[in-house]
Amino acid sequence: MRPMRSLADRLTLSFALVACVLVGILMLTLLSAFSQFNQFTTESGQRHLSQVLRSQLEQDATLLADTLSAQLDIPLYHLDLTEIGKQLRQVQSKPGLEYALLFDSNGQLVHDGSEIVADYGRPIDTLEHVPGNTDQVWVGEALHLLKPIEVSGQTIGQLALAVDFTQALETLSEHSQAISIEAAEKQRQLATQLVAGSVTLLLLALLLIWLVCRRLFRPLRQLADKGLRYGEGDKSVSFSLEQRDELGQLGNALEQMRRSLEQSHHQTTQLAYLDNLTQLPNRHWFQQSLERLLQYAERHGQRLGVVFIDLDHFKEVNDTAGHDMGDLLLFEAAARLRNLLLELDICDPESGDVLLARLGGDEFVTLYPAPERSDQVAELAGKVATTLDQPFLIDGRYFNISSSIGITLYPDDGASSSEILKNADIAMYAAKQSGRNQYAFFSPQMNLELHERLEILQGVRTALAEAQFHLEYQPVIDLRNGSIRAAEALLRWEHPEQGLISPARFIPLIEDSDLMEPVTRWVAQQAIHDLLELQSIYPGFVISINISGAALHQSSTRDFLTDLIQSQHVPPHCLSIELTETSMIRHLEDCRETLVQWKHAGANIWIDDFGTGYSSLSYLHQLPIDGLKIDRSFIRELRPESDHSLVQSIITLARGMKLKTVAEGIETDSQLTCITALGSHYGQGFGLYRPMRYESLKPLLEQQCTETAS
Amino acid sequence: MTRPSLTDISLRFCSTALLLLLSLPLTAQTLVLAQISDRPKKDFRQLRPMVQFMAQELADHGFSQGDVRLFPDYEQLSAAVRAGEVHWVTETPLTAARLVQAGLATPLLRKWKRGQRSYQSLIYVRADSDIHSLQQLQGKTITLEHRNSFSSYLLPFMALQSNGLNLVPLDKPGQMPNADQVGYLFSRNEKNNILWVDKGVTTAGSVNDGDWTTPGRLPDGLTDKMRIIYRSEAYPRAFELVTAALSDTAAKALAQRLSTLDTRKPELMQRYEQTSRFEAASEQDLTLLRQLPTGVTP
Repeated sequence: MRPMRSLADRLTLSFALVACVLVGILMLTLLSAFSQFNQFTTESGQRHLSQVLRSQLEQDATLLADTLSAQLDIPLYHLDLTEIGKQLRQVQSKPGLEYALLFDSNGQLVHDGSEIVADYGRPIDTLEHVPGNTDQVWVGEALHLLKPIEVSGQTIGQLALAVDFTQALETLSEHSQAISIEAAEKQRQLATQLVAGSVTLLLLALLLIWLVCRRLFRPLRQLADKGLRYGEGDKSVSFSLEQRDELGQLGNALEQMRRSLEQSHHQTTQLAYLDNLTQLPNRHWFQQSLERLLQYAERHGQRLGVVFIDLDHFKEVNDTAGHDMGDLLLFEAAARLRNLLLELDICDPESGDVLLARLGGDEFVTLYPAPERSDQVAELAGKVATTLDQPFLIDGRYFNISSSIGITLYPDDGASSSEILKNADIAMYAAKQSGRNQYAFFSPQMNLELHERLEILQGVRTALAEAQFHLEYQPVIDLRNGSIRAAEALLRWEHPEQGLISPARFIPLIEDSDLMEPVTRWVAQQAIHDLLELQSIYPGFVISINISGAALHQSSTRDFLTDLIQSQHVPPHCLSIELTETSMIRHLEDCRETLVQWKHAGANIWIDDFGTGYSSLSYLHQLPIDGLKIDRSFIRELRPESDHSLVQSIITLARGMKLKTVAEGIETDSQLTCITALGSHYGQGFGLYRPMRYESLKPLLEQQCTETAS
Repeated sequence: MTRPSLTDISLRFCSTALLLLLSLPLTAQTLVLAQISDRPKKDFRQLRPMVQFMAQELADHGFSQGDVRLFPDYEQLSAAVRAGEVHWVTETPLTAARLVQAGLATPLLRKWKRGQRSYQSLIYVRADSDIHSLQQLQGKTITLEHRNSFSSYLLPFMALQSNGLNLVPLDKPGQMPNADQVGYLFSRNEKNNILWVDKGVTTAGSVNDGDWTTPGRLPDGLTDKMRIIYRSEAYPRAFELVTAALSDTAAKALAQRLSTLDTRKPELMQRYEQTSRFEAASEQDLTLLRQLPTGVTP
């Protein structure tokens, strides 16, 4: 059985139980009272009836005696025995008359109604059955009367009369019994009616109670229903009841609570869905909006453009100018984007709100509802790029950032919100990979690339953990005597399945990630470890490590390297740090500080791949640089018959600035001859030495030292 | 033709009714039969059918209906006869003799009342008493039936007187006469008479022989306890007499009709005081009536 839940039902049941018990007690009391009353009434009635009957019988008997005595006075006076006998016999013939006797004034029998009055003259005292001393007496069921007979005021005799009322009294008794039986029957009827009436009334009362309870509790149930509906998200619910009683107050209280809750909910929503920094909607909001707009687009058969915006080099702003600046820049960027969208009037078709959110970090996303052509979205992306490409003036400083933008279109590039957003992210990444400050539409190929990238990123983590990395060293020779002077540490990744993975494949991939720092640290530690070992063989031997632009701008990397050099007591000028031109050009001032610090620590600073990057050579003056590594593209062109003026100029420049030079990528003897002739200090390349493991480098150096010594 | 008015009709009806009322005594006479009675109820019942029947029989003589008139005593009867209100009297010899001797009625028929043509008076005492003659009643009491009784008043009175006894009336039972007297009381009927004697209320009683011998007239078995000490002569039981109010022809017609009733209407006769027959009153009867000493009684 189902447990009873309704308050009304339970209340009704309680009432029913109480009412049943009360009615039961009442009925039992009533029935008992009925029974007692009935018995009392019957007995009392019988008693009264008996009394009345006896009284009536007495009256009758008295009347009979009176009448008889009145009729007998003259006959007695005349002693008319025949008349007396006739009168007496008439009376005696009546049923129930026991005797009718006439006595004279002396109490002697005058007549007994018989023919010959055999007992004539017999004294009344001798008649046992005649109580001669009282006027009226009941003996058993018989009434005995003694009536004086008077003539002219003189008593001349007395009439003795006895009437046996047994039959009448028996009849009364029978009637009484019949009355008792009828009363009992009536009592049963009454009891039945009482029970039936009570049950009917009880049921009626219960029905009424139930109805009243239901009516009473209906508002409560309404409130409960409303509460449920409200809980299920029906915001149209109002708890106010149109009544003033306690339930009405409860309704009002709930309504007040609902409003507070709504307000609180609104605030929470604000907190939950708004980005504190930019006051733009956050990722949560965006995901919901995207979901909703996707459904909207699906319903209306429209397309939906997703424009994923990532600020280029924003990390550098944070790293170089501090997070406060970064935040201000983000705020400014958000304001520009918002204004742009307002200008273009690109907004939510349902709410009319601007569809712009900050997903986190330097990522923004905007939606383009119902684009008719994809180039409309591209146009928006272009305008976004243009807007963000303008320099930001923050706290008196100009910052140049750009943006990489990925575009996806529903339904072509995904059916679900997560898929389409993920693909937009991929497209953005692709754009960023393609050289930043551009936009790209998503293509499935990007997905593959991304997969690869993710695999590599994961692989790098594994490689760090499982020591899949190792360093190879490419010796750098002194072009004057051909001896090994230094070696460039090159990171190698021996993948257990894929074999050797080229640094060109994974270094750019991890450059923008948080992996750059641990990888840089590992390289630095390993290289210094090897360097210190080699110092015993070849004191003053130099090992160079490459620091990427990303690592360069991280103060943590800067300090780590400094601390490492100092703590390991790396001999001065034995560790060279190679940096590319492009990695240094941005934030030149910050870069210089880092380089000075390293320099003070005892490291040499070299410009790697010199001649390929953008550079105004002025930085060569501003930075504490020790030397230049001439890019292999210049060396590759060196042939005896060709023009060497460019390399000559570089070398001349370096000499002029008292900088050393290394010619990279020497592969042939003619290149070696040429560069040697041009006056470069050092050379490096496959034509001299291939990169080799430390285990190979060490004996090579030992052998050189031995030869030199010998 | 005009309809008669309501007043006319009423007037006519009233005048017709008046005429009828006026002509009634002329055309319809009531035959009146009379008797002295102290038990009128019983006597009316016995007499009325006969007078009504006879009135029809005598319709030719102007009688259309019959009626009974009962009188408590002779004086009232005689007054009514004198007034011409009575046509016919049925009585025992004492009253008959008084009427005849007063010239108020003539005996028409001798009536066998109670089946008796004639009867005699008896005087009796309790058999266990020591009285055997009338003389022994001196200083005692006797009960007679009533003052108009022939057999139980006149005849015993005459008998006691003729025995030289001095009779005095007593007021009530239990009263005693002087020693030289005989006190008498009226018992009203024959049953009381013998009961009184039996119960010792009086010493002697007197009834007629018809009562004595006919079963049921006296309480059973009492006569056996009695001793008859005197029997009178036999006298006619009763007479039918006519007054001067009845014409001779009517009287003759009445006599004729009554005489033949025993064959024609025996049940009517039986009802009429158990009369078994009528016979013509003889000269001897007339003489008896004329000579009967009605004056011996007080």
